[in-house]
Amino acid sequence: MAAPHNADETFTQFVAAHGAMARRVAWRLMGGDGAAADDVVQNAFVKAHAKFHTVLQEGAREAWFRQIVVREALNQLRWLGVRRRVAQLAGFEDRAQPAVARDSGAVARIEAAVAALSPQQRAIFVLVHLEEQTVAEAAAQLGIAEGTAKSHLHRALTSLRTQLEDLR
Amino acid sequence: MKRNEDEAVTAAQLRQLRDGWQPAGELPADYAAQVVAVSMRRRRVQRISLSVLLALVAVVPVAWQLRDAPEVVAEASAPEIAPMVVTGEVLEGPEVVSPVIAAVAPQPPEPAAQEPARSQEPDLVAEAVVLRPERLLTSRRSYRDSFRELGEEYDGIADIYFDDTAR
Repeated sequence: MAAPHNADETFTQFVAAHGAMARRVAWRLMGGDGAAADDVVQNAFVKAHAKFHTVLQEGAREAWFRQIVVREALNQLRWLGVRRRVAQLAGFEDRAQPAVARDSGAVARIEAAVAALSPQQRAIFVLVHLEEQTVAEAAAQLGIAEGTAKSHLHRALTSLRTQLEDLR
Repeated sequence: MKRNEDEAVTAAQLRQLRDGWQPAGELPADYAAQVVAVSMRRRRVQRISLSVLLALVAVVPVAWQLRDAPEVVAEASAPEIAPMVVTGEVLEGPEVVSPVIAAVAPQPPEPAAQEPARSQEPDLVAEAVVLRPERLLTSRRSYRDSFRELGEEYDGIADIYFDDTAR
């Protein structure tokens, strides 16, 4: 049974190499929600494990896995949005993001402003400006056209500029 | 492409955000093993779900056909078997009747013991007709005459053929 052992070993190495990146991207895309980010990371790794043998090149694996993480995060965000709407309709208390005071630290203000962006806008902002991907790479990971990605990015920056006007 | 981050936040703030806005801690050491276990469990659940689905696909059309033809079920039930015994004989041979059906079906009665006394009487009527074919036995009187000629006494056996109000 040498082959399965090697496959498991390769996957273990893969998890060790990309676990931190997966956590960071998921956490940022989920707006700093740790529990939701953990779910995203686990689902992404489980999906990657199921198809791991189909992607043989290590270089290709990273881009492929990054795409899985990003799309899993967007799926999770959609579900969270649906759950939030249902909770509001049912009259349950919605756990909204706490407001950040204007006299908080600049970084805390920026974090809150990024977390308040729409899922698509936050995703493109995080991938391009925090994960340092090109717009084309980010668009491919999000599964949208490059023009659409540019449009989302422009709106994200406009929103941030409005919210953080006093910091400039 | 020209990046516009400087227009929204300063480069220094963005760098701070890039370095500081990160989750605390790291994945546990056995995280890969946990992922493999979850993956295997999900695959097993998917396989079972697929099996159940295929079984349903196979069973539902058959159940639907049975629903459309309830007589198939009704014929197999015991109470419906009883009318098969009509003249004291089982119409179907024992080799085609299942053991269960044979057990619930009434046993054929002994012919001599169960034969009613009146069952001979239609034969007398028939014999009277044969003896006097030229006469239409359309009245009690004609029957009575025919019986008399046979040396028997007419006991009203053929009265059922005539209107009671005419008696």
